[in-house]
Parts: sequence; C-alpha cells; structure tokens
Amino acid sequence: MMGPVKKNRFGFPDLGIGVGLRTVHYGHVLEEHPPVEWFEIITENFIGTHGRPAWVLEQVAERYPVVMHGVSLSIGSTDALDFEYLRQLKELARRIRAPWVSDHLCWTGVAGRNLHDLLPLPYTEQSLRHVVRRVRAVQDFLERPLALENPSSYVEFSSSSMPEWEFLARVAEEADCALLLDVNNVYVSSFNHGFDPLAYVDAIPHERVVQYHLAGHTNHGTHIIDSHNGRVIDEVWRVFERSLEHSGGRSTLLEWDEDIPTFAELHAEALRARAWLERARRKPQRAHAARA
Amino acid sequence: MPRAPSPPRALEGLERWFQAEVLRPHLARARAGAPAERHLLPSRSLSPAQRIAIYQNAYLQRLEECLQGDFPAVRAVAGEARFAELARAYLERHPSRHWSLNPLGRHFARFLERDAPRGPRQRLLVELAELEWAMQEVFEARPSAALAPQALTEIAPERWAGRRLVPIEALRLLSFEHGCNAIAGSVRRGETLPALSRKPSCVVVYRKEWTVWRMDLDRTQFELLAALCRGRTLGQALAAAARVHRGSQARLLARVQAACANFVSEGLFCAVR
Repeated sequence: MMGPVKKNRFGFPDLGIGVGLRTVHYGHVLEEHPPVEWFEIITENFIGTHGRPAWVLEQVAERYPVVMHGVSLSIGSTDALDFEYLRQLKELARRIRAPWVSDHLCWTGVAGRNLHDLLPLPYTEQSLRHVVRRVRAVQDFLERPLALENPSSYVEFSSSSMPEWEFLARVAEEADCALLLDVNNVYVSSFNHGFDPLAYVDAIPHERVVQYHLAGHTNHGTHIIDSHNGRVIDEVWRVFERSLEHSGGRSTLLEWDEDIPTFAELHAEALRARAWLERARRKPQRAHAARA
Repeated sequence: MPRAPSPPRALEGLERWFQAEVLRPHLARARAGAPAERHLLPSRSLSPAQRIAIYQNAYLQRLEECLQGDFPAVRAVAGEARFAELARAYLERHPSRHWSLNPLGRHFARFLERDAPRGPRQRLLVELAELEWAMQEVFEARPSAALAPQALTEIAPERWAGRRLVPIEALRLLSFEHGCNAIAGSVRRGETLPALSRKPSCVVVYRKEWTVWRMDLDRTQFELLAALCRGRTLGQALAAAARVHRGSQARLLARVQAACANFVSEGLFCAVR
C-alpha cells in the first residue's frame, strides 16, 4: 500500500509526468494524442502570436493540462515590472486554464534591454527584499501564486551573503510563493560552484514545491552548461530521489530543447521518473531539515 | 498599475555592470568597466573573467541563431562570415527590448538598407530580408475567415465595379528588383542558389490554414492586388491593372477575372463591401 503523499500548500494537483511542448512534435501530438499526462509550454512562445502555435496550443489545451513556464518575467531586474507582458500572460493562463504559471529566480536585462538569458542575482538582503516585493506584486496582479524556479548559474557574486538555497527558501516564505525545483539546475550549479546538491535540496521548503524539472546538460570539464539536451544522468536522478524523500512526489517534467529526439524517445526518458516517484510514495518522508 | 518603488541602488549598479560586461565583446565601441574580479568569485577551474565569458558567448550565439532562423536566404546569399558581421552590427544598433525574441528581426531589412556596412549584393540582401520578414509577420498575424468563392459570383454585374474586397491581415504584397521568391524557395528546399542577377519580380505572401505561402505575381496581377489592398474598388483596381497591361481589353478582363477568382480561392480576402 502506498504511503501518504504530502500535499503542496497551494493545493495544486499532482499532474504526473509531463514533457515540454515543442514545435517539432506539434504534428505528432495533434495526430496521435500520445498518452502524456501533461504539457508545459514556454509562455513567451504563445503570447502575442496569432499563428499556428496559438491554434496548436488551443487544441492541446482541450485534451491535456498545460502549465505555463516563462523566461522573461525578469523578477530580479531593477527595471520596472512589465505589466503589459503580465496582462497577456494572465489572459493566456485564463484561456488555457493553466493549473499554474512559473518563471525563474533571475533577471533577463536592465535599462530596457533583454539579453534573453537567465542572469544570476547576488544573494544579498537587498536583493531578497527587492525580489520578495516584486513576487508579491506579480501574484497580486495575476491573482494566483507564482512558482519560482531555481536557475542554473555560472558565476557567483562576491557580495552574496547567503547561499542560493537559503535565498530561494526565504523568497518563497516571505513572498508566499510556490517553487519549481529544477534538480538538474541544482546539480549544474553545484558542479559550477562547488556545493553539495543534496544539502541544497534538504534546505528547500518542500511544502512549497509544486513541480520538478529534469533535464540533460553538457559537461565541459571545467563547468557544466544547462543545455537541456541528452538523457538525465544518474547524479541528477539522485538529487531528484533526495527531494522526493521530502515531498513524496510532485508533477514532474522533462525539458529537452536541443537535439530534440522523437516524441516517443522524449516521453520514454520522462517516464523513467516513474520508478523514483513510485518508490518515494512508498517510503516515509524525511522531516524538513530546517524545520525538524 | 501598481506604483513601482525605486530600485535598490547597489543591485541596480551590479546589474548594469554585469549586463555591460556581457555585451562588451559584442560592441564596436565599449568602455572597459570594473574588472570581473571586483564583483565575481573564481571557481575551482575558472577565473571570474572566464566565468562571465560563458554569458558573453551565449548572448551572441542565441540572438544570432534567432536571426539565422528568421533570415536563412539572407544568410545563404551573404555567406556565413558576412551574415555574422551584419548580425553583430544589427544587434548593436537594435538590441532586443522586448520580452519575446519574435520581433528581434523587425528592423533588419531597413538596417541593411540604411545602416549596415556596405558589401556585395546589398540591394538583394535588403529585398530578401523584406521577404523573409514578411513571412514572419504573416506567420504571426491574426487569422481571418476567408471569403467564400461564391461571394464573387453573387455580385450583380452592374455593381461589380463599385465593390471593394477586404484583404486578410495575414497578407503582404512585395515587389523586388530580383527574383527573391525563387531564391528564398531554393534556400528552404536546400537546393543550389539560382541566378542572383537582377530580375524584377512580385510576390504575395499569405497564410492559408496556418501555413505561410508565397505566390509569384506578374505586373498586372500585382497592380490589381495592390489597388485592392489599398482599399480601391474593383473598378479602380481594374484601371490600375490596365495601366501596366499589354494586350487587348478583352484579354485584360479575362486575366483580371481569373486573378480575382484565384485570389479568393487562396483566401486572400475576408469580406466584400
């Protein structure tokens, strides 16, 4: 008999195992209706467009739950929030009945520019207050909780006064937002910055985790790039397993954005998560490290 | 809208420094800022400068890939090295200020025409950029319900000259000094480039059932469609076509009739007024 699954505090459903909806698979998804439990879209690819992607999304959303994952919220930027962007995001979320929306703990540009990258923040008290204020403003505007994802990063600021996991946990608590825990990003950053990925995971308030991301990456020896290609490596599965010991399982999604394989191969890779999820559901959960 | 509190100064300064550092290698004239060591820590194997170089390289690669995707024919004709030079100059002059990468190339044709470093086949590159950007715009445009073909036949003959056909939003009409449609088509099919010499051409780019199409037009068809797209009546459009048509009036009428039927069957219009 399966053990009890700890719910996330937002009441978001456990959608099971999903994959990212990508252009190369539109035809397959529309024609074959593969037995995927849910899809995630890159929000910016579907707002402000009225062409085929918008039509495809409508068809997909009729049949599957679709979660929106953004890359341009720029929650850490010192530029003003873009409320026109948020208005369109909110409208799309309403239209496709998105169970939740997410974006990254990062900034994408300043002084009016967008570098279209997930740029790192210094983890200081000042940054914390800034991000918390903006997350609250976004949630008030969207009238729903925002799920923030831990990014991969390649630099560390000398001004940082706390580790990323503490910053992320405090943002989540103080802004009362949800978390999207990308276990590949935890691993990538742990390699790049030399910290213990399991200690990171142990410090995360798992009752706020509503979703997991899994992905492949590219190891250059001196550093790892979060390239979203290839299969999920064993070390990342171990980070996932550790987090599941805290959460008991959440909606889980595989990201694959370069050298994208056939849909069948993509889905098969995502379904590898099932073994870990089922094992976690049978096990008693760990007490939260910071609140034990 | 909620009133934005003033941004924290130290964070703002650090973000501005970081952004300037990411962009610095890609700008023709960039002032050196504080060294990376002042703000960043080394890793076990990379110096602060090597670490920020990861972001510097990713920036150009990502945005150049976007332009390559939007302008494959410009790239094929310009060649890899020149396209990279043009893309870099373009990104310096027109950096992205939008939350989406979709509009990144919207000024590319005008930039090639007015501001880009001069080089061979400049006019052809401008025209190919115009065509390829039109394809992007048509791809993104709002859909409209196409006019049913019988709508034309239902117009009483005595009222025909006074009617206007309303074009769909997903339509762009272009005329070139070169055979741009043939070049763009061969690039997309992975074929050898056709002759790049001057050869006047006209093309309509439009979307039908979510697919973007390109149709070559002769001068008569182009003037007819251009007049209709400007909101002229069918009678006025016929007169515009007549100004460039060489042949009898009967032949002109037959050609215009056939062209209108073809335009309607291809879904270029959404209403008749």
